[in-house]
Amino acid sequence: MSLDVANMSDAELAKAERDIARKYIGGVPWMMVIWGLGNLLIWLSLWPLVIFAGLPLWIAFIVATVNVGICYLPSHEAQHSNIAKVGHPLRWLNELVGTVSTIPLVFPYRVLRMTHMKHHAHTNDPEDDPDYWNKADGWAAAIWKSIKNRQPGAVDSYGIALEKMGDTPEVRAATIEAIIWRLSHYAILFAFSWSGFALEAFFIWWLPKQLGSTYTLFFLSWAPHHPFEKVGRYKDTRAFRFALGNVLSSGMQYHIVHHLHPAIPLFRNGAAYWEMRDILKARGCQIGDL
Amino acid sequence: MTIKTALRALFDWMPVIFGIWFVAPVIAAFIVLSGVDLPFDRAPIELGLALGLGWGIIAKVTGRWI
Repeated sequence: MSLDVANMSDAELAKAERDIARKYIGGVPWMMVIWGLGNLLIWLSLWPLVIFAGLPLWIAFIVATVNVGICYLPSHEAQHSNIAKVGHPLRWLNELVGTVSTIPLVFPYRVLRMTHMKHHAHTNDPEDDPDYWNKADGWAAAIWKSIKNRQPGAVDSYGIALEKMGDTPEVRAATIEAIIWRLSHYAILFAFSWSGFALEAFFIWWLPKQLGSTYTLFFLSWAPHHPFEKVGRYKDTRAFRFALGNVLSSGMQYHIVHHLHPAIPLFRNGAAYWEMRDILKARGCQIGDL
Repeated sequence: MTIKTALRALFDWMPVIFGIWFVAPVIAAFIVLSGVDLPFDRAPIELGLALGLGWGIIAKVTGRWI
């Protein structure tokens, strides 16, 4: 059904948008649960398969890089409580997926959730959006920036965001979790390396983590918010067409729908986008040629 | 020394620690894999430690690995 958006008031546009969004919200997105837990299990299985079963390291490296590259999104659904809200009988599953799916990326859930909510509340605000540090002029600059942001002396934008939240029990818990995760990661890498498995540690974890981090930051942060200049509900995120398709963009072509309605699971954003596209156009959203 | 101070010092020195405990054995493993014999009969891990430590110190001082 096409909408006569040209003759609709702001209130009518808002209602039509909400009505469309509501159709795509609800239920347990089992695909994200299977994705999060299955992806972790595959990555974990690479270690014994390489060390004990003779799986070639180059195959493990390719699989591990894919594992790390796609591990953030299930946690992202959990950060928004899209798997199960507080009080739901499956809330434990929401927290489990959120916590364990990003192990290959070494990103603790509590920190991700708290800083991601800040990102949604202050998208593209240079002072308060922790992801603003990914701003870069073009795609090559964005890749280089994400590498620079992971150097030892780089600004820790997530740490700053946590500090700004004050000395609360939640912030303390997130900080402790981040320290434990980082030290555990180092300890495991060191232990493997000095036990004769340095190449395994390098090709199954360290290098895939670098590549996966670069990919994740590029598509989930830089691409949908470029040029990081506009603020406001309909301006701070864009739709874009990726030459190699939506799947390889991690579904981020439709990230604008996520910012407008975070409760819609990732795999329904595309359908929701196409249904509300005329409304988004009427709102002056950046939808490029999508 | 509080735990906070100790942790800050640990992370401050992490590039050097990482250079010794990870970069060094990885370099040594690549040397072994390449089949290259080092001059003066040196062991691969010796070169790995020299490069890993040196690179780690540079990373600590400059704040960047690359």
